[in-house]
Parts: sequence; C-alpha cells; structure tokens
Amino acid sequence: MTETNFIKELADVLAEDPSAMNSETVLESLAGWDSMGKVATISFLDSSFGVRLPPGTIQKCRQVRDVVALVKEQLEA
Amino acid sequence: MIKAIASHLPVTTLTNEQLAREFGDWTAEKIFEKTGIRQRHISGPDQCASDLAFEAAKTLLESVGTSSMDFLLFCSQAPDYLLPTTACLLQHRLGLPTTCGSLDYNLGCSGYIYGLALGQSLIHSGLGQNVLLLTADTYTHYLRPEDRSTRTIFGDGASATLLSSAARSRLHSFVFGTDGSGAEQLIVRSGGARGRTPAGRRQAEASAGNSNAVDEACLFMNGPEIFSFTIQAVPALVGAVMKKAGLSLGQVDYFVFHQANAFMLEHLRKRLKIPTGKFEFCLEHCGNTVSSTIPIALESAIHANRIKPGMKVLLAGFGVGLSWGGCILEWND
Repeated sequence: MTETNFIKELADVLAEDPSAMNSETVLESLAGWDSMGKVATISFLDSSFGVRLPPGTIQKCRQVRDVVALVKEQLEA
Repeated sequence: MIKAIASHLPVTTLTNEQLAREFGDWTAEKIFEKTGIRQRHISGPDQCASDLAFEAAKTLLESVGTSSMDFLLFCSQAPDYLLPTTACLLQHRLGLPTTCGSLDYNLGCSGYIYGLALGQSLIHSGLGQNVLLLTADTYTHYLRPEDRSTRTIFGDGASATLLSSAARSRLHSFVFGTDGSGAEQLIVRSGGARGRTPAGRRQAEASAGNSNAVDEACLFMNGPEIFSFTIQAVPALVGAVMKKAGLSLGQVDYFVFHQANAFMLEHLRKRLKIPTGKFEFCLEHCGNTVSSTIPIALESAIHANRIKPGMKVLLAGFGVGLSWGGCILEWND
C-alpha cells in the first residue's frame, strides 16, 4: 500500500472526505477523530498491518503524518 | 460445576431512538452500526446492584428448588455501602442459612471468570457443595449524561449462577492476568476511601483536569486505550487457555467473550479467525452489563441450543482493572 492509499483508507475509517485529507491534516480538526474514530484507527492498524500500539500512542498523534509513521516501514515508497 | 444460570434486567429501557434524540447528530441506526446495541436496560434511581442480584438469585433459587448454600459470592462495582459487605445483606434477604459464608469481590468485566474459579476452588477444596455466584452492576448510575461513548454502550443487569459439586458440567484451564498500570483508563474516582481524603480529592481533580465534583463521581473511560489493551491481552489469553486445555482453535466448539461492544468483539473474532457460527454476540437487547455479560450470554446460548451438552466453550472476560481471565466450560445440563 502506498502512503496516498493509506491516507485514503484512513479517511474511509474515519468517515472523512479523502480529498480533504493529506499528511499535514491536523487530526483534531476532523469530526471523525473522536473516541470511536481512534478506536477504528487502532483496529485498522492491527487488522491491515498487524501493528498493535503501545499504551498512549494514539493520543500522541497530532497530524495524519503521525499515523502514517506508525506503519511507515510497511508502506511502499 | 455450573448447575444453572439465571439473569435479571431492570424493566426500563433506553433505546437508540431516545439517544439519537438527545445527541442530535447521531441516528439510531448509526449507534447500532457502531456498537451492535439497540437498547440497554436502566436501573431506577432507587435501584441498586444488589436489588438486581436479588431478583436474579430469586429466579435461580426457585428454578433449582433449593436455598441450601454453603457460600454466596457477590461480584459488583456498586456495593450498597462501604460497609457492611453487600453479600451479607443478600444472604439475609434471600433467606440463605446463617451457615452460608458470604463475601463481596470487586471486579468488572473479568469478574464472572474469577467467580467461577473461586466457587469451583471452594467446592474442590471441600469447603462446600453449593456456591451461589451473583454478579450485578449499575454503571448507568455512574455515566455523565453527555458522554455518548459510554451512554451508548453500558446497560445494567445481574446474573445468578449455581455452582454445585453435583453438576455434570466441568470448568478447567483457567488463566488470569492483571495490569494495574492501566487502572486510570477506566475509573470512577470518588466513592471509595481514596476519594474521601483531601489529597485524593485534589489528585483526582488534577488528573481529571476538571474540578467539577459531578465528574469525579462519574465513569471515565479512555475508549482507545481500553481497545488497545484488549487487542493485546485477549488473543494472548485465548491462546493460553487453549494451550492449557490442549485444544486447537478448531477443537473449541464455541466462544463466549465479555460483550464489550460489537465492534470490539468483531475485531477479536476476525483476528482470532473464529467462524461467526461459533462466536456469541449477545448485546443487541441489553448492551454491556459489565460483570454479567458472560452469564447473560451463556444463559441465552444454552437456552437457544447454540451451546449443546458435550460442547467445549471458551469463556473470556477482560476490562476494568485492567484485569482478564479465561477458562473452558464443558457444558452438560
């Protein structure tokens, strides 16, 4: 999966418009980045990438790029 | 070991339609899609967990036709008083003999598994023949009205289970775990001794970032952190129980997990590769009743013949504490 596709899928997980989201997007500005949205993101990272986050990780994400960084090694260049 | 199970839900319900009217931007269907829950049962303002447990126990005792108990175990996070022990009040109210040992223990979503282990151990060690295990919680009394992440999920309920040396079903391969470093992720700060000290009160206010006394009495749930904990702990727990029992995933006939919410259950089911037909969902009509979800689900699955005599059923409870436990039930009625 490329970074662009990852961001598209993340937008889908958060029920956000993919065209309005890029790596610079501030997560707190998204209505979908609520408690349920964070849970859906954690589920997505585990299901699609086998990434299980250490405690506190998701709360530290400020921008979309911080979420991308969690799976960076598994994305195509 | 398990002889019979009964449950009790309070009469009043809170539907998704009612919640949608309160929260505006959520439809009833959206709440169902996100949680798998259509309604929750809500205890009345004067109704305590012990009242719900009493009703469940009464139903159970009538069905088995005996009140000859050696022990009463009451699992709840809503005791009537700091003291005395709520189980003592229930012993008297249920008319159990004064030779019956009674105790409370405070656990949430893992509590039923712990109760099964405690009850079975009392029987196996020869300290009694019959143990009445009661679970009951009234989390809805702890919820902030505007907190939709908890209001949509939690409901009130109680269960009563008779553990008996004479029963044909077996319990084995218990596995337990605790990680108190996650205590802050699901907590009601006030009401215990810590919250009554001036220092405890200040600390609670500071860490909650909110000096509102009403909030301190309310449930705080960090949903994303609880979810992260669950997807780490539960697959490992299930693996450990199966290893202890010498069973492969295919040899387990049915899985009954704590009914946290449908999203979490479905994530766990898929990650563990459990077929849908072998995995219990029992929360659409009652939500997450904390310590009572597993017995309510068991009662429903046994009644509907999804669990049949001879089946090996893997039970798993996990949540507040953080605490978890699992075991195998070989069901026989």
